Amino acid sequence: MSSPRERILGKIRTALARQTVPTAAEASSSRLATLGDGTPQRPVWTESNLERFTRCLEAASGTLVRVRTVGEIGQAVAEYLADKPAGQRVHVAPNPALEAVDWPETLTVEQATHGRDALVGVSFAEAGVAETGSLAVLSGPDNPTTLSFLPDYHIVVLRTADVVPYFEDIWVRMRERHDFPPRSFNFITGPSRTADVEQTLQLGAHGPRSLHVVLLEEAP
Amino acid sequence: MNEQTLTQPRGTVALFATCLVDLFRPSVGFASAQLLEQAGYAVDVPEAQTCCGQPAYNSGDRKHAKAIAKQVIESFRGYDYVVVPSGSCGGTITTHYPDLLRDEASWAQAARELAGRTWELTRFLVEVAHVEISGVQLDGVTTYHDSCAGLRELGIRTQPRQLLAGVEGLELREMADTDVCCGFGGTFCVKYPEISERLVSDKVSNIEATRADLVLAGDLGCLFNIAGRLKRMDKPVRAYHIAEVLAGTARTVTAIGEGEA
Amino acid sequence: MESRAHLFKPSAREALDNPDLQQALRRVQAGFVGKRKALVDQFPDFEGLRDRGRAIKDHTLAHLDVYLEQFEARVTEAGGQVHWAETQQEAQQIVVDICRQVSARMVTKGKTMAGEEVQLNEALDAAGVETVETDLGEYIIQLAKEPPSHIIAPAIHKTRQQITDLFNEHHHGTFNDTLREVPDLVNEARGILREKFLSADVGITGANCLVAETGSMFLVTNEGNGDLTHSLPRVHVAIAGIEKLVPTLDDASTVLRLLARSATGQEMTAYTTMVTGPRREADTDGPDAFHVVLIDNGRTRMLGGRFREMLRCIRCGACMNHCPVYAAIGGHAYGWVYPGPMGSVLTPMIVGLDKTRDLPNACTLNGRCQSVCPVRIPLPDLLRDLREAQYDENLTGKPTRYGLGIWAWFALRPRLYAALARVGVGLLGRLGRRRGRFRRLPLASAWTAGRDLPAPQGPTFQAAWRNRRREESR
Repeated sequence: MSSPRERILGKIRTALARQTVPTAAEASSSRLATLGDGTPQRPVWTESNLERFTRCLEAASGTLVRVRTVGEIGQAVAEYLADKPAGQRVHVAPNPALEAVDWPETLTVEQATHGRDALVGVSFAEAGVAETGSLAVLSGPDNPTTLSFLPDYHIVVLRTADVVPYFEDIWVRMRERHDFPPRSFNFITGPSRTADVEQTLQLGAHGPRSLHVVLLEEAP
Repeated sequence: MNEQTLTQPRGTVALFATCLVDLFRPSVGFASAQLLEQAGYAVDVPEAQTCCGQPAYNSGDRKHAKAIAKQVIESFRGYDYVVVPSGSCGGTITTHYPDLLRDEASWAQAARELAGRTWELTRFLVEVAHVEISGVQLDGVTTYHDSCAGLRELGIRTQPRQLLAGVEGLELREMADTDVCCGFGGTFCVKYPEISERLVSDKVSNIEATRADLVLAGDLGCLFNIAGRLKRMDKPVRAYHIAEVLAGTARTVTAIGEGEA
Repeated sequence: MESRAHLFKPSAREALDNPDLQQALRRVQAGFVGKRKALVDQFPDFEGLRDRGRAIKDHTLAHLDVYLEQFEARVTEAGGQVHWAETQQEAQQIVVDICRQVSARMVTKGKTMAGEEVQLNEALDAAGVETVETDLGEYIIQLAKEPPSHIIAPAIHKTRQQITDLFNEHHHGTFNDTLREVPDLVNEARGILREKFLSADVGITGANCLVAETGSMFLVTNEGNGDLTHSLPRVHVAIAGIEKLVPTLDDASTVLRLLARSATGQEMTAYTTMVTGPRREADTDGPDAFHVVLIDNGRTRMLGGRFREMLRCIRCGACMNHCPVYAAIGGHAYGWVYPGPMGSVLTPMIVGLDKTRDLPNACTLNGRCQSVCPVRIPLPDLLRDLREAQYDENLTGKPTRYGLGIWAWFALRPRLYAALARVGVGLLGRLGRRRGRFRRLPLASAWTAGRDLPAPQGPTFQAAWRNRRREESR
């Protein structure tokens, strides 16, 4: 008796009137012939990539602050939290890029392996996409996924040098990495939101109620 | 053919009047013919025309739709142009006949040939005849309904507006959702009368909101639906086919659904 | 859910008479349509993007076997497992078995239309597994025990008052009975669902797009519920139709550009996530197991013929947002999972032509859906083709069939037609001349129920034209 897998593939091959099944390479070259290798249609802008990124992020209700060195990140986080009912505990992703952060004594900093009891989470973004103002946050031992979704306040550190124009640019960079793809590759564009009640936009549906980007000018 | 007025016609035009114009509103046919003759074309109305077959086609009755399409193809051979005062019937001939007859090579070829010389009236006047309307006066405010087939199958949107701009004394005031269906949809309006009524009621509200005196369109189907609803709701807005306004006959012919009384 | 598409007419009538629904439907038009248009207008070449979207999907469908096998291989390499389900029953069995293997008591679910299609919740309920919908809209309609009325905004038909009442009934009376504001309602659901997220054994999501290149799936949400659903439980199950596949990440980028703009009028949703396999060895969170259930359920039947084009659908909902009939009656009247134009094609293809007779016909063929479809599906043509299939299978109603037959018989005999038309029109013209219209007319009651019928002017155009020409040539 054939398996559902064989039956489905069989029906597909009948429907496509297959004599022989093309190889992956043949499919790929047929794809190239159909789509061309030119640039796909996508947004264009005249401002700098960083300006576009900032504008789109803010349009999506994200906020942003710029710092010059890794050391300043701690102070920027403390200042951001100063007027918010977020308490003093900050759960920080154990990311090498955040090791040199100089955390102020007013904050209680914990290394996070997940986001389960975090009210404030700090993660690190591998890249930013100017096209949409999105952050690329990749899961891994140094960047737990749930830290991006369970806290009320999600703070993300991004290097200005890591802002790329388009999604395709991210894929070019990522394909070179041995640990790509990670389990969860999150493009985050603003805080969580819903419009399911009477099409009225409300922030903080299930995920963070606010998203704050600390933009780091210092190169690694 | 009237040889006296047409010393050197720019070409021959067969007018496909459409079944609704033939049965209900000949004034649209005469207005169309007048516009075409004024533009310098020799106009004929082939006798064998009945309907374009769209009701059968849209009801899934391909056999009858094909037979009627072939009859239309036969009756309209030999003319330089075929002009239709309807985007809906025009779209059927130009877009759907070639598809309908795709499996019969010689008919498919004939259908494509017919499609190539078939034009909706306002588009023909603007793009082929390069007509500029002048010497026509109609005082008032009008709004314009874009019929769906004309708009989406034939790209008719600017042409009627450009022509109407030449009518002296007439102001065009656009309604909201001018590109949204009026709810006619051929047999749809009698198969699903309640839904159709909702759609046409929305259309009437949008028309009323412009406070226009007139509503114009290029398709008698939409116009009957809209005028019928306007009348049922005792609204004073009058409905005309655009050809009647452009030809200047709207002043002498009663509006759609209006009586002599 | 079982199809109720055969009840289209009474359901549509009910919908037209429901003031709450009518109020809600007006918001669909105002919200989605305007936002989409603003973004499309500012996009440099949206028409080109649509062409590319169509080309990507067409190419994928023409190589579906190749890419599915490639996808399966990549998922397996990443430590996940691919399951194939030919039918609804097989899909249900696969998911129930996965839940049983881990002794799951509670499952959180992200919005999945494929899951709705194969009645996953019903199957899990029957197996004693509690399911909790986590998309706010889905959660609301789960409480109301209703099917979704829109594929993007499932509870779009619900008013704030109705949602307040539902929450009062189900959230154990910690709140008073008054109408609550939107932020309060959202917060209340957030609190309740947060507990569910944290205690669920299995998370089930749909997939907006599957990528053969990497064995990944994309998940697009605004609430973040999808990410909590796949990241917190021990097991993540994704369920998707086989047509969701694209070859590469670049292709996925194009599809996502089309999807967000067409669906909600956003450039990008708040969360666009690419999931590949279960947690890696060193990861400190994420599920231990990852399953993808690939669903056929009638899709391979569509692949071979005219309806292959429907398989390009990326489930954005733009067609229903722009459909005047959907705007008048809402999603429930269509009677199954997929409403509006795309549903009127898909439902007959999956549920059966004989059980869905109204769906292909309840459309004015105005073409607005096609003009916004991000992958250029010729929906009106497909609906017409379904009408043809109905006609060929003798499913078209007798009055329509006979009426068409008689009318066509005359239309094909122009002389007889003209003679009869002269007589008929002459009579009607005389009857209607004074008022110019009829309020009621035998055989035309469907027309005259809601509008007057304009009376004929008098003679037919053909007769009048020949008369005039004769006079002119005299």
